[in-house]
Amino acid sequence: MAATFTASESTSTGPTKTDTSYLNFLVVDEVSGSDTTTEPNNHPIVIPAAGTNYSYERWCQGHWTGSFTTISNVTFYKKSGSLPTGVTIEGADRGSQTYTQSVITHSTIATTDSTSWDVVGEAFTLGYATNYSDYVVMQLHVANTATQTGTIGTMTYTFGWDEV
Amino acid sequence: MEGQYNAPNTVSKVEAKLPDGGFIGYCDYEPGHIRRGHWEHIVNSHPLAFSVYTTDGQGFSVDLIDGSLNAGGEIFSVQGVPPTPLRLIYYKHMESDTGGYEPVCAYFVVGWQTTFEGRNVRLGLKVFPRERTFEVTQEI
Repeated sequence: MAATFTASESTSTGPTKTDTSYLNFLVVDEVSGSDTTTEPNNHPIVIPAAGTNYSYERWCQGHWTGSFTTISNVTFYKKSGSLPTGVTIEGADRGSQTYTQSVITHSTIATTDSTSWDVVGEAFTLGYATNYSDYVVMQLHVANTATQTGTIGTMTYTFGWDEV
Repeated sequence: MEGQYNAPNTVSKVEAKLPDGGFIGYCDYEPGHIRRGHWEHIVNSHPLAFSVYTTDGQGFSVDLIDGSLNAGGEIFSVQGVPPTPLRLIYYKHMESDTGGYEPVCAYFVVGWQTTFEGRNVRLGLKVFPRERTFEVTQEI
């Protein structure tokens, strides 16, 4: 029997850890929900008159259960999807499983533009311990130069790992 | 070195031939079969040979005595394998996309490692089930 994998996201002060299939960017510190539209439509990041608006940081991990001996070489990258003018995603490998509550101000952790981790060869390499990977932290930025309204295109993020 | 084989995209069975001539293993798709405890036993006891099967029965194996590799019946012999124990290397590299997709096996590796003249030497099969190809490579 193989390992069972899900992405996990952490929210609130605890944190509250929730297994998820989606990683949405919102203006509330809440879970992503069960699709790519409902929560983003309810809690969108609007285009500012000046400067930049930010989403809450999204803190996510890989989560493994089931029967396996070891998990190693965990990676994470943005696999596909393009962003419109004025919209960027920044992220980082937290380097640990230490959680700090998400902020909606400009992240001091998620600081690497996604164009630097959007191919498998540029993936973040994450540590693993006790069924979870280290955290990846991401944040959506919407500048006043953005013009596209409504839902932006869907991004696909990919976790990779070696499993025995 | 590269090759091709015909097989669907999942690892279905893993087994080891033990020094007493017996076989031990598990099926990925059969949770009730031999599982984790025995798997750890295989790794720790240096089996004579180790095989990984895809769902249509194609086998990819390593002989841990002479270091030879077998990819679907095609044998790759090795010259000058040092007479030290060959340590089994086996793992699957899995990938999972956001969006509710099931994890897929990007590739699996079956091979060996030993120490030769003070450095680690590796050789094995790197099998890409979705592409139906494999490589014989030291990069495992």
